[in-house]
Amino acid sequence: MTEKEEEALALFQCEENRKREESYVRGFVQNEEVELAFVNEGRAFTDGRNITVDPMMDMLFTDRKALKETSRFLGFRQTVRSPWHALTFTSRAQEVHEGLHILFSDFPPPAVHDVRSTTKERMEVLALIGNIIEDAFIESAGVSAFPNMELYLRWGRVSHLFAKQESAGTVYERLSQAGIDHEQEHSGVIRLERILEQMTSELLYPMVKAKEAPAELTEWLDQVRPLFFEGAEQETPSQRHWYACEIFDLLEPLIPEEMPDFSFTERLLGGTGTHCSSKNTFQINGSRGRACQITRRLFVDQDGNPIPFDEEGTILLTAIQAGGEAFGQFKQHSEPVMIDWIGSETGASAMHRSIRIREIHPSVDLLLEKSYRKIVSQYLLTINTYIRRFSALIQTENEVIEDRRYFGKGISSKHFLDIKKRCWYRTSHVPGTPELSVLLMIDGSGSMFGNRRNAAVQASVILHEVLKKNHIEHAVVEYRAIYDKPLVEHQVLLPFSAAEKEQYNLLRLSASDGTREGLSLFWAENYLAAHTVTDHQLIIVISDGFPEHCCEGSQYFPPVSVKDTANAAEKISRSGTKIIAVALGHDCYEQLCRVYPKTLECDSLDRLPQQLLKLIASELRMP
Amino acid sequence: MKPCKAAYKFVREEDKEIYKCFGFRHLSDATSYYVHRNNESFKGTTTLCQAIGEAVAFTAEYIGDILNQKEHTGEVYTDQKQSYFWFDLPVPKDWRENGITRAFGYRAYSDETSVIRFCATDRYGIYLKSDPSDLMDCAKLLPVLTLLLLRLIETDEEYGAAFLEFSRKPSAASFVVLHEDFYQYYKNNDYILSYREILSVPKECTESLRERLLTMMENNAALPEETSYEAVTFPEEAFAPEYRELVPALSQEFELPPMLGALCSAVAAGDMRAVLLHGPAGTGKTMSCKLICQQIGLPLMDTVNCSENLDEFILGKFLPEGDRIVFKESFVTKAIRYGGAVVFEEINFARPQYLSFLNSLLDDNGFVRLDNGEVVRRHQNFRFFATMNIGYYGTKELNQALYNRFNAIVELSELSDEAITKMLTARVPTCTKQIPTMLSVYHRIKTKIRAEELDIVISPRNLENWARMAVYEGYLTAAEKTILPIARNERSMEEMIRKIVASHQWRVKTEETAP
Repeated sequence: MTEKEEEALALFQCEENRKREESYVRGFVQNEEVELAFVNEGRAFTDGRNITVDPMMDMLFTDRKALKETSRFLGFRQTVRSPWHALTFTSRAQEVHEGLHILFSDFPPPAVHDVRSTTKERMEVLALIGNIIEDAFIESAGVSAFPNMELYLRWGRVSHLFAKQESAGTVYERLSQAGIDHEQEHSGVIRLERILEQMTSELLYPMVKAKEAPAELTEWLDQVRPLFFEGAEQETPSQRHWYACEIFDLLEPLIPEEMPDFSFTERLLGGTGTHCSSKNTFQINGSRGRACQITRRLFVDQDGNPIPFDEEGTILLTAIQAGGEAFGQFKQHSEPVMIDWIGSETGASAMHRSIRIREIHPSVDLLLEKSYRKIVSQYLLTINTYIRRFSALIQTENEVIEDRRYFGKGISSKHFLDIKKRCWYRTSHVPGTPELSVLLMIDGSGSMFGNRRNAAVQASVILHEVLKKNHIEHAVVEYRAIYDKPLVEHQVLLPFSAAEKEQYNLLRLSASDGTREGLSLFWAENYLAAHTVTDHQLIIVISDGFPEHCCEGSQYFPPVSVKDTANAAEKISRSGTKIIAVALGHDCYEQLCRVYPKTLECDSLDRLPQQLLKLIASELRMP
Repeated sequence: MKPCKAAYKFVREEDKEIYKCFGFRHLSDATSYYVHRNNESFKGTTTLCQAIGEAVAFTAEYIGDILNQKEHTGEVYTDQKQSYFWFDLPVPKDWRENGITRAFGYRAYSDETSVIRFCATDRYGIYLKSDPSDLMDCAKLLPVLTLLLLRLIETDEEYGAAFLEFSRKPSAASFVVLHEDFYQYYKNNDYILSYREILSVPKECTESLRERLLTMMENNAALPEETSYEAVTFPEEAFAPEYRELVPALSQEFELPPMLGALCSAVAAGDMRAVLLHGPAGTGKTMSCKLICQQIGLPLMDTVNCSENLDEFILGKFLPEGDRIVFKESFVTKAIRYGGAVVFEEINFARPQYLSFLNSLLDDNGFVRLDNGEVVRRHQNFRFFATMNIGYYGTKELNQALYNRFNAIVELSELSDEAITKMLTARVPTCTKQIPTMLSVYHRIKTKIRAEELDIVISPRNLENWARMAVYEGYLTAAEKTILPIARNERSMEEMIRKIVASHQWRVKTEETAP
């Protein structure tokens, strides 16, 4: 797999795109309870509510030859080349197929409860016969009831033909070249396997001229063929199951005691899990498939005459364009932005002048969404409590007296008794606006590893949720200095005026190397000045010890680092930006007291969020 | 031994599939679903394994059977402090066909120490002494991991709730989250595993998981059934004739929600003087207040809309009358003085300072002081109703003191599809055939709002407006004026709603309904 293909696959399977595809399926089957999963295990199935598909089935999206052959076979005017489009088409084909099962098939499959299913092997054979009929039916029903789905249904079937499996080659090769040895007399089980293969290929791949079946199977095939074809045209699931049972009864003498090898038939079908008992999920609540009258089959009409694919350029083009837009949208989030500064640009002391400062705006990692939501739900009570408290603090309204009214709360003029001349006043209220910007600087050095990092992540998530709801400007930055390099990194996990999805990056907080706080504080002051306009600015530094860093020609250790950081903090404080440090632990509290003008001690990491919120609340009261 | 770490090392021979787990296999990459914040893997990926996955499915199947009231003979016990755990779970038939051939059941027990005792039993529940082939490393881990899983379900409320939800509605996404959270919770925990006979429930274990779940279900089911009450109404002479005319007389299409039936009698009897109804827009909060009044024969004296412009003159104001200034009482004051109901709509839109009179009014010895200095005592037949939405744009936090003064606070849930259908059929009969399609659009938009936590609202009222407008210009065009505006000019949201509407079939019906 090339880098580009890997990237396309990762983006395609990201949560946002999964939701997009899920929404597509839900719309198609008109059921909001349907859940879609991407599982890269080479199969697709549904249990009536959950749909599992594999967008990288048979690695088709990397197989240029197969893509070209599929496009050519389908008569597309343009070849589907890009991995993203191939992934979309492959995934949609499986989604539509499984969606049609949800619409038209019974769950759990009738084979599970049929009296014939006395052993696992017998149930598997009955389920497989049922699945062949069901697949043929739903494809016919799909094109009959939803003509727009023809593109995806055809893609799904034809791409199966040309997708190559390393050990087994393509289905196309096997159908058109390989065959059963005509001379040899075969056992019942092999005959059963070949009969089902033959019927699958005749029903689902009528466009491929398969080799003639060996003579020893002719009699069997002559008996089951009409039943398969008639069964695949029946309107209701129970009627189709009746045909499956009839076929099963005919083939019963061939059913072995051991499980036959149906791997090729399963490959031909492309999604056998749907009708193979309940081994993929459990607690399936039953659902009945709808009845549907079919007017044609996928590749042929009801008389078996081929129907060429009438490629309406617009349909294909729209599908490709929609895919392209989504790709662009997801890709946009995936590239970080870096801005480089030099120490001398910040106003920091001379010892930092040759240190490079890198401001990193990381890409949005949508994989972190669930983790983020879990923290939010875990601390929802705290978050809501503080949202209310902050809202009460901020929304204290200022009373404004409106004078010279005809009527009001009281009379404000001297002419109390003269109705015509006297004036009334009334009071109205103007809501207050928060005049505070908060920059949370989190120590990203190696010593923060473990519980401290976790506590900082939780605290920043809670803080963000509360401040966001109260429209208080805030940003969260992780700072660190890379050992043995003249480089200080400031990872802007959450910028001021962040987009909604950028909040997930708060979970990217990591711990390595050291810090160079004397320089980071000046960067923070510049960052605040450049991005905020409020009167009151607050920098909260969460740290667990003295700043330390070394690189060639510059040793930054206590007492030098302590003095330098203290000077920086004092200088910034004098310019009007408040700095408060929060020390994670008692030992570092004493250390940070020597550095910062105001330091709070966080003796229990569980209390860090509350401490930070109280701190900001007190700033709102007395900015 | 660290069971969670070990779980990744063992897999059944020639079968890497995690049984009943959505097609995931041993070492399947599930990073696209979930990355735990404590993930420490080299590439930051989430990988699943057979033993943990099957323990999740095995346990979920047991809990799911109890929740779905299916037969299951397994038992799980713990003590009150949740230090001791014991279980005896049968291996279902289909699980036995999946590699576990000889064991018919598993038992496990753990106490406050780090020792986990476990054993397999035969079809008669007798201890399997030998180490049978189906107790190979992977299957051995199943009872151990199941015990740890049950411990986590019982001790961690959030995990327990998520697990119950998964057992009710299994899905691949929640499976990955439960698997990974379990792994991250126990990954560094070391236990001594001991395969030995375990007998009946130890005396310390007195709490049954089955009973707890059944009690929980019973309690949940009992809530809507509590409808046995005696209907009480006000006698006619309770109110002056001129006020009796104010008892609402609504048409029969309006029905009181069943959950408010008992409340009516409590209000009439005077046990509930102040009632707050809250819930999403369009659930019929104000209408419910009127229906309660109608049901118990209570005059509705005034309905006050608590907009931003609500001022301090709720109780009355001085007005010029000829050459004098006289105090004119409002209907709210009349209700307080002579009895009757008042409804304050959207009470949390009002400025708290203008509602301060409610604190004294709704107290035990309720009274209000008018601007002219008069103190009006609350009449015994005065009833106060308020409605509000929580969390909508422009709303305020209701004062805690006032909130506490409401005798009953009722949340009206969203209208069911049947109720919406009935409402639309009664009000806009022409849309009857399109109601299922409109409901489909409604649910899809609601799902989108929930999933993306959008700060917008769609209510049955929007559907009614849509249906009314569709009579004139068809559903697609009417949606532009009645449904799209809920996006409040958020273009991407508008586009999304437009796509949802366009993905439905309207043509035939539109022709039918066009004038």
